[in-house]
Amino acid sequence: MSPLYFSVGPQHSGSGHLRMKIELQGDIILNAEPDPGFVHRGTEKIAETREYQQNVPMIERQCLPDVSSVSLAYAMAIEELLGIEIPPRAQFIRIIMCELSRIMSHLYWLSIMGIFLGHSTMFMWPFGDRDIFIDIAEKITGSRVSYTYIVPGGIRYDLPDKIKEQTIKTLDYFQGRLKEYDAIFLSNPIFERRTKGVGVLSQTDAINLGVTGPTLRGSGVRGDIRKGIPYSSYDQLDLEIPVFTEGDSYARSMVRFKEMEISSSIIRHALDNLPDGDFAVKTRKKVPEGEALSRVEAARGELACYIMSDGTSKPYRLKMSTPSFRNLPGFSLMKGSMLADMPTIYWSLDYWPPDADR
Amino acid sequence: MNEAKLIDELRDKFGESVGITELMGQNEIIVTVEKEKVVEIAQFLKDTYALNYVISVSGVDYPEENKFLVVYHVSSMSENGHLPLVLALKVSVDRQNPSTPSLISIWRSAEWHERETWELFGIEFNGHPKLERLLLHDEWEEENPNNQFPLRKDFLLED
Repeated sequence: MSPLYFSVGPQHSGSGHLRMKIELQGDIILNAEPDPGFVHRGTEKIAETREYQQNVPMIERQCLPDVSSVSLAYAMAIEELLGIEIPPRAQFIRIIMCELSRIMSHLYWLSIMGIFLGHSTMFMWPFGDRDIFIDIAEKITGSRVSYTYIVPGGIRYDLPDKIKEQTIKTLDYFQGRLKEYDAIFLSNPIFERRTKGVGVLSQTDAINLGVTGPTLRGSGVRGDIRKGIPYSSYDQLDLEIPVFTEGDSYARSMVRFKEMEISSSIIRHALDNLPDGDFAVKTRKKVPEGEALSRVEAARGELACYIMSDGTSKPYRLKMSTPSFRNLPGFSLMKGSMLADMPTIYWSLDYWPPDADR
Repeated sequence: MNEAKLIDELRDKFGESVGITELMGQNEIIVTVEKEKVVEIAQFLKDTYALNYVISVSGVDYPEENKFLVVYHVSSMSENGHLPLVLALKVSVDRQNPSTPSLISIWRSAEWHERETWELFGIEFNGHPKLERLLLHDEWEEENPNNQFPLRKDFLLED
């Protein structure tokens, strides 16, 4: 029997517009190749025509579930070029925003993982719980999804009154809910059978292919920028890095699940130790000539922002090396799997098409 | 790792073909190399300094100097995670006939990055197995007969 060739996507499959070219023999995937680019918007080019500050809202839209990390990477690169130090208070608030983002992004991921496995309760619960985090973000930033809150020089506004109480209350509820998620889904034998031993990525391959984030940490590599090359005061907070060695869909899923718990305690710790003082410093419109590379651990992995400046108020070249783009080689894990395992392998990479396409 | 030692050793071993090297910030070294030597130097960096993990590959256009730069940001990754050092390996490429050796035989993680740079800048990576459309759509070439490469400086955006 000759192989069957077909496309999955580019219709929205729960995570944005991506096409996968699949070659199938019987029930076994012979070859799976991602075809990205359906949501390419040319942000790197457009950024060259706008001023540094104007770019923030556009750049952060490349990854809507995780906007804080994107704007942080961009701001950090500019701050390095300007040679300015960010006040400790702003650094802590940035951490709080990034960890809130990470939780929201992982909740989104967990929902879709639920629906991909036909578990509709797991689709509803995290989506509902994500909303109470969105409420916190709205109170802090004024926006529900795309905040434009982390800007070069610091953050846009200080924290509002009583936000600490609201956040602690939310986290108390949420950390209880995590146990329920575990009971109903993560420890569910059906979930385990559908993900254990599926889509295995070895430690050596993970490093050679250059994958990042939970995909890397699920393959037994302790690779997290927050720990390895701490930025924005992460070195002052307790930070545990969950690592699983199996390299399968289950391991990648468990990394994200554990991270939600850890992010919750980072937020608590940061709120308890929040320094007083300014929340922003003055920046200049023109950025001195030079180049800078900033590296941030976003929810999906390492996000690197490279800026070349020619001394004007607009970037000469802006390059965002995004985690989803760097996890593209992970699609090769589908080779040799059953077609029915394709959704869990795909979603265990937490691939976000606009993040890769930019 | 001793950054100064790395620079000295590169100069000793490769002499003239290693151009400007400088330290940036705490953990970043910039090394400009000739494209004839880039494969050898990349191999040396990987073997001797365990620089095995590509962070990004960026093209940069300099029309006045009639050149492109291809910047490989590479770092070290092991079981224990990231090491802070980042090396920016810059290859200067002639703008009229832009081609440079592909480094994916040394750094497999450069594969998709090089393909993107090929598409958006029109820089040929010799030896790359799959230089095909990635982010732009299939009709791009017909729609933009005069200039196909959006990240070049002479590709102007309409208002």
